[in-house]
Amino acid sequence: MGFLSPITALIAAGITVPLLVALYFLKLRRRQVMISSTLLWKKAIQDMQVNSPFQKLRRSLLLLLQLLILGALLFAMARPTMQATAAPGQRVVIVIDHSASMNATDISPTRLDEAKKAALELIGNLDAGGDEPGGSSQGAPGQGAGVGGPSGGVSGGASGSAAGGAMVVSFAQNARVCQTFTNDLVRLRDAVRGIEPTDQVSDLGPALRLVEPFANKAMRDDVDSLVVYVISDGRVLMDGAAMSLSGAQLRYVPIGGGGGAPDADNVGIVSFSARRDFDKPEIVQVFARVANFGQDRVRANLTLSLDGRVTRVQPITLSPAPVASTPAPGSGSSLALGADSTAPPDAPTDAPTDSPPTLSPTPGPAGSETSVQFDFVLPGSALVELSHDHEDQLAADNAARLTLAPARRLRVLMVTRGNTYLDHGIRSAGVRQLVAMSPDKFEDQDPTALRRGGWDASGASGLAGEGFDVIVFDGYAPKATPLVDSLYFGAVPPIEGLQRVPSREGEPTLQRILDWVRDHPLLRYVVLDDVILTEPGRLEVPPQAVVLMTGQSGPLMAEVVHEGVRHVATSFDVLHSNWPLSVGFPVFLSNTVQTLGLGGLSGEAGVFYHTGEVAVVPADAEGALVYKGPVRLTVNRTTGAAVLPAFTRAGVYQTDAGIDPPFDRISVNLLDANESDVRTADLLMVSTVAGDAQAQPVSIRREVWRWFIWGALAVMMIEWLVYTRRMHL
Amino acid sequence: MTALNSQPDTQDTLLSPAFMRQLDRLDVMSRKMLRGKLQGERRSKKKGQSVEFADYRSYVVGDDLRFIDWNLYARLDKLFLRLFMEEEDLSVSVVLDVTKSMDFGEPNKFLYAKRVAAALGYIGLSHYNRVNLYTFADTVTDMAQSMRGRRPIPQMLRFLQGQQPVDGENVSGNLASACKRLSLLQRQPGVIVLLSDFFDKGDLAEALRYLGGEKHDVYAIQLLAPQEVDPMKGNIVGDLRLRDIEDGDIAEVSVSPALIKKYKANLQAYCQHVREQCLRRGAAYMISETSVPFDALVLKYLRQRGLLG
Repeated sequence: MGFLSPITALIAAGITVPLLVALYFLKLRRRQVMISSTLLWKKAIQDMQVNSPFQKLRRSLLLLLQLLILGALLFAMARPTMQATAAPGQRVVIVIDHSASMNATDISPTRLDEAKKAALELIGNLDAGGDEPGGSSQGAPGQGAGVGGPSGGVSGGASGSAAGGAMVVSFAQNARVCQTFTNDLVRLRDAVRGIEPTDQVSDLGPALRLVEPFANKAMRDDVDSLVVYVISDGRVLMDGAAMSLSGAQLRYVPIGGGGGAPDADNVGIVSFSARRDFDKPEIVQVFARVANFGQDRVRANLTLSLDGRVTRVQPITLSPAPVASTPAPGSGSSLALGADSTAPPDAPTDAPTDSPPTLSPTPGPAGSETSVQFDFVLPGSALVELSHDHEDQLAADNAARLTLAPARRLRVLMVTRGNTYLDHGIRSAGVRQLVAMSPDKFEDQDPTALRRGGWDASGASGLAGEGFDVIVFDGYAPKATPLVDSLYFGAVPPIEGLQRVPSREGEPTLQRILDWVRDHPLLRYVVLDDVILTEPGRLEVPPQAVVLMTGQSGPLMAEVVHEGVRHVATSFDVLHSNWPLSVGFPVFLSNTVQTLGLGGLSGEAGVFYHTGEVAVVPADAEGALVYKGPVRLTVNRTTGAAVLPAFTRAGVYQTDAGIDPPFDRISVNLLDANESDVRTADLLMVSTVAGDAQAQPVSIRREVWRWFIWGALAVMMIEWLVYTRRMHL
Repeated sequence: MTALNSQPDTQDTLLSPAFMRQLDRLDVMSRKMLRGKLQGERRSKKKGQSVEFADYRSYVVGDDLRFIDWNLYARLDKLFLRLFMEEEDLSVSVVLDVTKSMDFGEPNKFLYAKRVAAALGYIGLSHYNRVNLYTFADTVTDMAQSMRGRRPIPQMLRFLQGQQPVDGENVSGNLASACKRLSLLQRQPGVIVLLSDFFDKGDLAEALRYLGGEKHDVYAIQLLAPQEVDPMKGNIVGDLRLRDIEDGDIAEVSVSPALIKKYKANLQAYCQHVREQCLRRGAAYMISETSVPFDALVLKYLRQRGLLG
């Protein structure tokens, strides 16, 4: 501990302490009371003094307390300082990971609480030296001392503050600015405390992209570095996007796995799916992968239950996870980012500062895992849950659920004036029923009646409900946007921004398809090299559209999601092409019908969502739609659909608002091996430089005079209590 | 506060007519058969001239011929003298402490003591006892002696009304000196009632020694104010400079629960000490708080203890 103004305090002590003692003795003007005789009182005093060896001390207790108060005030006047860890930069960004792995309980109560604690500690240090000259800091020369520091810092932040300040960002699958730059420590603390746990995966990229503009500005202004503290367990993904954090120092504050923390112990279900047999749809196969990320061999029981009834229990044995191998760390505490990074003062000197500006995911070995399969017969729908009974540190991955769809086949409506190729192509896709309808008759239909109802609870194949799963428009644009997933040939639905533009004069009549999205579910296994189109025209698409196929004139095929309904539009007529004659055409139709008609069920028989995903729920009625589950979800139903926000917690969400299955029970799972691996990463890999997880504390002097003021107030309270106790027996 | 000046007393203040009527039924009792000075209403050891026959004795030359039993002479032919019981008066001395320490408390100890003295004096005079009133501080300061019969009752009351606590820097209570002087003044055997708080810094045993013996029947009545029994009632809290109202002695105290507890223990021990000294000298000891109603003290407690009957 040091003092900034010791002389002042000594002078004040020289004056006030003797004064207090003198005043105390002067203060001994006791209240005079006449009594009949002092005979008994003097005897009592003598007895008390004889029996109480500390009587003198007790008598001067008030003096001692007052001297203590004065001493505390004099200490505060001397401006005592202590060594503290704080941000050397004038701007600090605190990035807190609140993904699923941060819910691990190896640190009580959770890692997220520990992360918040670390963040609050950082914020508590930010006020250090806020009003002291820069020269008094023991940090790097010229570096201010955190929030409230002298001017000259980065100007113009998100909050527009002149200098200094801190910002709080939380990230899981997405990043969110919890608090923009501010000097208000209360708001910063509130922002940190307000961060809620999630079961989502973590991606550091979006968080760093939020910081990127501030770092660049700091670099341009040639001022001290922006310091970014990433408080995480290191189980983060990088989305691979390039970014420039030239003006920032990145510091990794590891949470969990430190000294004293127990070894990682987690068994998680990292993969889960269900399929129906193609020939016998009532036979269901459930697949799962279970991984052990702990250091011990684990024996556990896997329990499969259908609608809460246990049907299978299977013991499994998982060998210990392989020991993590860490890359060679850089010697510095910060991580250099980008080719034009400015190395921080304590950055590694051998850091390859000319490395490409890429972010690489945190390396880490996968845990030891095993695959299991369950076969059973169930023609109908059910909530399938798989769980294990091993007590571990992360609960979110101990169970996985899905809603098993009943066996069914699709009903397709084709609005056409006659198209044999389409008719044969759709029938070859294995639909249960194909209904052809003329455009005029289509317009006479009730749009809502065309939408198919929910699942058939009985599971009887193909007998359920009216309406259609997919509508195919052949050269006809409906007057109103259908409420059913649709495919359009040579036409577009009436969606704002989506328009079909015919071929103009001067454009080549015969055109080839130049590019298509080969890994899109609709175009998987579809080869379009030899397809020739006659006057295909082109599409003008809205910003949210996904262009699937591009020709010489522009987009030829695009997917647009409008009010939760998917529309796939093509600008050309299949009859004006040789595409129906190629193998890719029935493949495309099969892909399209299955994908549009079955959605998530096109490849699987079970429906579930990952945490972080958005669900679109078909809903006829309007008004608020409430789902109860791990968290309460309330959304407003618009025309025909309700869009649920990204799921934050894993579990089953149920509603009693009359939603058709499977959306009355929505299963949300984590199913991410990286998050299930609760071993804290010692290193956080960003760009090509690995930094040491143990950030070197930057020494500054933190003034602690407030503590003494508070101490003086506390002693004053005690002194008051002692005084009143004497006055009121 | 506790130091109160005595109010100007009237005759009614000390004894109301109604109370006097109640006192008429009482008499001062003595535990001993004491020798009187004049003929009175109380049986004496001596044989005398009352109407109550006591005994015979042989005639000796010089005896009063009027007491010879001539009937007996006629039968036995010997001269016998008839003896009768002697009835004498009783000397009742009320000794009142007029030191400044008595002028304390609420109700005031001095006024309380004067009323007790007036009641005892009234009873004594009503039954033709010889009543003496003494006041003392460092010695006997005032006296009214040899009052007898109902006629001097107003005189007795005026004497008491005129008494004030002795005020003066150099005057402090000295019970031993006062008792020594009293023993010289009161040679006639009788009942002595000592009204005081006994807060005397001298030797109490020595004081009582002067009044002890078979000569006197001594009653010591210790009067205490409620504020002396429980200092909390006297607002004795905090850091105080306690000044002795009598001799100006100073005691600086920081009042605490422990100190209050110790004071009460000391008070109890001191009262016990006074009692033991009284008993050792054959004196009867009584203690009363001034919060006890005055009439209850006289009509009940003093009767129970045998002073009045």
